[in-house]
Amino acid sequence: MSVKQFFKSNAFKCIAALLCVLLASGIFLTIAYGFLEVTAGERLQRAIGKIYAGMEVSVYGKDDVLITAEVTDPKGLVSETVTCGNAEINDAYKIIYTENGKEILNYLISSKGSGGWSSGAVTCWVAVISENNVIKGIKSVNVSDWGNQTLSSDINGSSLLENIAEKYKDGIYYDPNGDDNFLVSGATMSSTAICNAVNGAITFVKTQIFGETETDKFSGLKYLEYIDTANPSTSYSCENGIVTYNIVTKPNKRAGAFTLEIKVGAGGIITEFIIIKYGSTDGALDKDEYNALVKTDYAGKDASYFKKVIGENGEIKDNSNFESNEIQSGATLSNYLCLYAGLFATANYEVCSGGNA
Amino acid sequence: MNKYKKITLDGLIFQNPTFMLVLGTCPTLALIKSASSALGMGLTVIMVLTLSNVIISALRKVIPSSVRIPCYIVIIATLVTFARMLLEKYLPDLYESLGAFLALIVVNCIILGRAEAFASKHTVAESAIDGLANGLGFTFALTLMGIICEFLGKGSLFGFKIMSFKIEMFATSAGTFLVYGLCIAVFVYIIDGFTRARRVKANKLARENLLKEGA
Repeated sequence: MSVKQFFKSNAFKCIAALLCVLLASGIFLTIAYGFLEVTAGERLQRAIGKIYAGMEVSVYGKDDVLITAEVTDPKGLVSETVTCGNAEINDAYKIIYTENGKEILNYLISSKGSGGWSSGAVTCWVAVISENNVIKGIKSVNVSDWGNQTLSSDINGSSLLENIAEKYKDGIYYDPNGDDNFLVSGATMSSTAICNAVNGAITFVKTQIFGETETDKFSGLKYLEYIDTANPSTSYSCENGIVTYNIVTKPNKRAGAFTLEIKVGAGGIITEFIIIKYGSTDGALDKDEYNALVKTDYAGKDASYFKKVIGENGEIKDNSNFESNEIQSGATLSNYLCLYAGLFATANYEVCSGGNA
Repeated sequence: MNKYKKITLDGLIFQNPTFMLVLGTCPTLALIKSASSALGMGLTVIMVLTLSNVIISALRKVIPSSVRIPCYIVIIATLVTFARMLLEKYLPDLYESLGAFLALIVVNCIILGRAEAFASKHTVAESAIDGLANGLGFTFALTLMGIICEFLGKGSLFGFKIMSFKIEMFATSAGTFLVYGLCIAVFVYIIDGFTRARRVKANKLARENLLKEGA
């Protein structure tokens, strides 16, 4: 085919038509975005309008500069995104308002919590009530970006967002994996992301604003990628040479977080492996069947077993290398989380037992 | 004039996309828990459907047949993105309540279906009427079911509390599924009855004419 023939051919017409449509669409959307962009100032004013409806509030940003309603790009207390546990803090402002004649200080935090459906995230405005550098609770939580969580409309109409403010008293953390009644049934993973966003906001206020230091009880441990170390329920303790791990895993794509209790004895060998909360939402087994499976498969195993199945560093994340009796087809993602938790517990036995192995 | 009347009645009633063709089921089931969300989704679909029909009809002789579907998708996706920008800027509450289903309008069967079945073969004016009628038919169906579900499930209408009595099942996915099924049954029953009566009347007229001719 000559060049001239190509330019006369149907193939060229098709390419040209597609490119023209794409170009026209791109130009149109670019111009439209210029007019319809929602500025950071608008987002802030919307959040304030919802959280402090009917109140007169003063908003302060960086260097205690008063932010007015006209500001399109307000400078908040955060200049770069800060990671706090399972959340990313995008912005923060100091809010002062008067209630019953008393001046109240809030920190309004924009926090993006991870752990949502299909590893998604939800961004929330969290208003943290503070007094004398102590967190007194959460005034309100307002979702600003659902991040493509398809069941977001369920949460929108639920009392979850009101309940959150009541659950967080005196700045304690809430374990989103621990109380089913708190989360919205049918949208538990999106609810988890919201809880993580609130936990992250509390950590931010404590560490970045009040300057408190949080000791990392997991420093020096290996295999932390799928272990939710920011979750208040994840812990370990040692008694008589037996290390008891209470582990909340991170979600693994469609499989939600698991809560596990693993006991490891001398030689780094598992003596008990119990699933407290089953994270799989579409797995082939139910919780009891799964518990029976891990009880027989994982008890008596040490780190070498888990390394054999999922690799030295837990890098084998699909079921291609799993043997049939080690993995339940149809629940591969959940199996991976359990195997990874087993690897974490056994490989860290020496450190967690204080070197008394 | 008769042609436009037929297009309008087909879109609104006889080929109603929700009740008769059962298209766009995902957003329907997800959003009819609340009447305002259902109405908001319907109005957005009217805008996207009418504009996409007009643009696709105007370009029907320019776009080669073998790449028509990718071109339609790009046009529809552009319009949906534009609708999202508009809602986020001016109606943020509605934007939040529609959630991911707003973006999913791109893959709504009604829009691509009307583009392929109608707009690509008819004039701009006819396509505009078809888009508007189908959009209105979809909005009518969604809002009607939204009103039923919200009234029964939450005891309110468009967010305003009407009564304290409520059957919470109707505010869940199972309840919306039930309402959707019942609405389809009632709508099809009414339309069937109407069509049958029209056919009987036409047959009677034809018989009378034949008798007259025979006499």
